[in-house]
Amino acid sequence: MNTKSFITTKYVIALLLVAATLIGSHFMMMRQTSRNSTDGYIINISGMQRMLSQRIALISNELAHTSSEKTSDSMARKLQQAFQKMSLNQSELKTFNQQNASEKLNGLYYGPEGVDIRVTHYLGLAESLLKMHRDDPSGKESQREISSEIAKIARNGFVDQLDSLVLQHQVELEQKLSVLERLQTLLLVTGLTVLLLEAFFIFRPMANRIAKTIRQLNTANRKLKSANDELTEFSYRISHDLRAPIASSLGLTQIISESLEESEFDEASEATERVSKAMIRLDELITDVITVSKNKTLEVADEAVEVFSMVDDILERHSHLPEFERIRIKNEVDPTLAVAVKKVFLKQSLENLISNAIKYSDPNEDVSKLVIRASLLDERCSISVADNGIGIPHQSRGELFEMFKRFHPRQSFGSGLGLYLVKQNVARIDGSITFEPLPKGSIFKIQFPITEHSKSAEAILR
Amino acid sequence: MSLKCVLLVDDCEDDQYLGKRVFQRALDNVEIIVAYDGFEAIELLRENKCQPDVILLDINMPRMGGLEFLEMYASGNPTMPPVVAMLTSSAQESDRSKSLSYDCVHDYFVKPLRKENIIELAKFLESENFVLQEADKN
Repeated sequence: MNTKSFITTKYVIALLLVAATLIGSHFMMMRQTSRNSTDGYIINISGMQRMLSQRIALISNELAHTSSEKTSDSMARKLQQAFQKMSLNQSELKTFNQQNASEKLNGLYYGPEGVDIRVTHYLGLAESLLKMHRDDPSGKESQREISSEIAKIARNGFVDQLDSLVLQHQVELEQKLSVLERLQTLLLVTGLTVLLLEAFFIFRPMANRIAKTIRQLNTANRKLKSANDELTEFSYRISHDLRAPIASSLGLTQIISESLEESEFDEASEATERVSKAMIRLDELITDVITVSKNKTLEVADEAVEVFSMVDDILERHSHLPEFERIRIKNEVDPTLAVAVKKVFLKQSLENLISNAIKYSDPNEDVSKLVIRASLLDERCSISVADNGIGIPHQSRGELFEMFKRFHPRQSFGSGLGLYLVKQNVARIDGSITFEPLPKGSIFKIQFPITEHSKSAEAILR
Repeated sequence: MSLKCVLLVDDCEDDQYLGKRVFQRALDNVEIIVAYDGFEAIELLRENKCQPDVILLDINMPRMGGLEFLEMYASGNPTMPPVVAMLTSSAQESDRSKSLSYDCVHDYFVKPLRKENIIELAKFLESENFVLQEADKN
């Protein structure tokens, strides 16, 4: 999955989780608070019942004892109102309790000694009193009997019973409130847990992915920059080095024509010889440049290589060099050593190292030597080319493997691309090239990993 | 002041050959000393093996190139000859401007060296301006 869709997916998941948590919390809170608001209303009604029971007792008492007709009528109206209100409340409580009441509340209301029956009885008495007043307003004697019965009920625990109901309602509401508090805490913890989990399972992988992408981009950028720098340097050096032999030849051909005009044939012949050599150098340079640029994109497969024979072939092909005869050459590679490797890269590299060792041998040395060795160690193949030649000047060792570098002014043979090509080639076989100065001469060592494929190379060759 | 001695700093033997021949055909009695790179040139000058009137300097050489030589030369011995002319196959503007930023560099010749280049140099050395300039310095 590419980085953009990876991050988008993660972000959407994170946002959806947060949204789901918020929506869930919202609905749970709504449900709980709407329940609690009904509870408040019910407490109110049950409190009102207690108040109404007392009111009915007081009004009944006054109605039964007053002698004034006017007061009697007024009391009867009030009693009527209280009676209606209390009846209405009773039926409302019944409706509510049928749906919501706890077992305990139901027992208190509708049990054998329940409030409901007593309220009905109490209201029945109040209703009788009202009827008596309507039928015979002055019959106070019988009214007093009922009123004292009402007062007796009210005094003997009825009000307390109503009171205990209010308390029970309150206790239950408080329980619900504490449930609400716990729910709130739970929702908070859930929300925080969701965030924590998101941090671990969404944001951390996301941050890692972004960091990785940035690292990759930076690496790619560095590589591009160095490739670009190298290309700039390459084109600068090419423009210079390609023109050099042509410029010389232009001057030389001028000399040739002047010499011919003046019949100086020896001079003309020398200049012609020089033009010809300059053209050979130019041809070599162009060949090297083509090899360097071709190798950058060349794709080859591993093939089995016998290192000893490869070195032998290379030596054979350099035997025409004037220095070859006076160098004591030892190919000490084990003839049975075989590796699987991208052959062309190894071969070009060894060719360059061996030809350098021959060309830059020291003419003043009594015995010039060149030794090639190879070994397998820790899954790596190491091939070294050692000589006692003129070596590399100390101050130039840092730029040994750069392109277009030559280090020996009076012994400059090549294009300056040889060791650059070696470095480029060993990189293509995942290997490395190192230089070690000797008290006299140099050792160049190529190391590269041997693959599983390599281990079977010996078998292939047998 | 006339042009009697030239130090030619160039690693290419063809260009050394060319330089000698073109100088000898352009001027009488001129001595040409050759160095293969900046390093050799510095050594020759330091050991007083030659006291050239002019140094002809290539840019691209092994060990020490022309621009590195100028860096050392400019900060070095003031008794060294003051006139340097670049002689290079590089026609690149960056090389030209870097070279000409040194006071001692008078000319920038793109190879191959021609008779006209030498006459120009000789005329400059003989000119009053240069003589006066030198007198001022002393």
